[in-house]
Amino acid sequence: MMNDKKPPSSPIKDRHCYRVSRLVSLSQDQSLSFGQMVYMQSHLMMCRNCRDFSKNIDKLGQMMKAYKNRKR
Amino acid sequence: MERAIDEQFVRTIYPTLIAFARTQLKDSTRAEDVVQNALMSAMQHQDKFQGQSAFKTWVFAILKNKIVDELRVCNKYVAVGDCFEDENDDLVLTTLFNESGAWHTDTEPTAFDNSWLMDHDDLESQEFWQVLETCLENLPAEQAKVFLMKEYMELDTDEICQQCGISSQNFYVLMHRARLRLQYCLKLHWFDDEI
Repeated sequence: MMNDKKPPSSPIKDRHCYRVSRLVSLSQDQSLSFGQMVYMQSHLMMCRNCRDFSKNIDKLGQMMKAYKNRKR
Repeated sequence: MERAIDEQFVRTIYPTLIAFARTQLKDSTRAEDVVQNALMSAMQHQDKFQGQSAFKTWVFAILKNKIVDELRVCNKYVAVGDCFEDENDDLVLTTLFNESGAWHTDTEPTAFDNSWLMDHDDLESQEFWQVLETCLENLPAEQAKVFLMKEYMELDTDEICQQCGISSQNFYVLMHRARLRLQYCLKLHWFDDEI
């Protein structure tokens, strides 16, 4: 039996690095649930690209602060 | 009385103000109006400011308030649908991730070094801010607006959602897309850029 209700159209399934990148971004804006935190942290331990992405996103926040406070 | 703020000075900061206003307001006529209003109110009180840098900071503060007002008024008239013309920017996703949701090897993130952290008067640091500004300007309008409201104006999520007439889910999607784009843009044009 087919379920004809399709998920929202996204070419990428909501998992792995893509999903972790969403959690990394979300964690900048609100605190993650316990489950989200475990999912993210366990992935970050194994995945160097996502660790780099996570650090880069932290730095992006610092850049925006420095940009705002820079001497004009 | 000697005035620190002359025509020459206004001419110098004008492009920066316009560029900032345009990232927030899609319509360039509205951006120009807002910048002119901000400059006019700033000029009226210019004698309170010693030196151009204090004045410039103050003009920016006024400009930000004017933009917030403008967005508030505008959102009464703009259909929510218009706010989301950029929501399906799948291209950035397919550039960064493969079908199983892993990073593509040629576009994967690599750790940013500290080359952006420099003395603020440093010439190279000026160049970095130009790269950052260009990356911000290249964001789709809605992403730029929401990202700057959060990271530059430091408004909280509820206020941003209210002013833009979006749900918190929309907000997180826009912030995620903006960060993916900015991270990739900075990697491409600054951190991986070998000169």
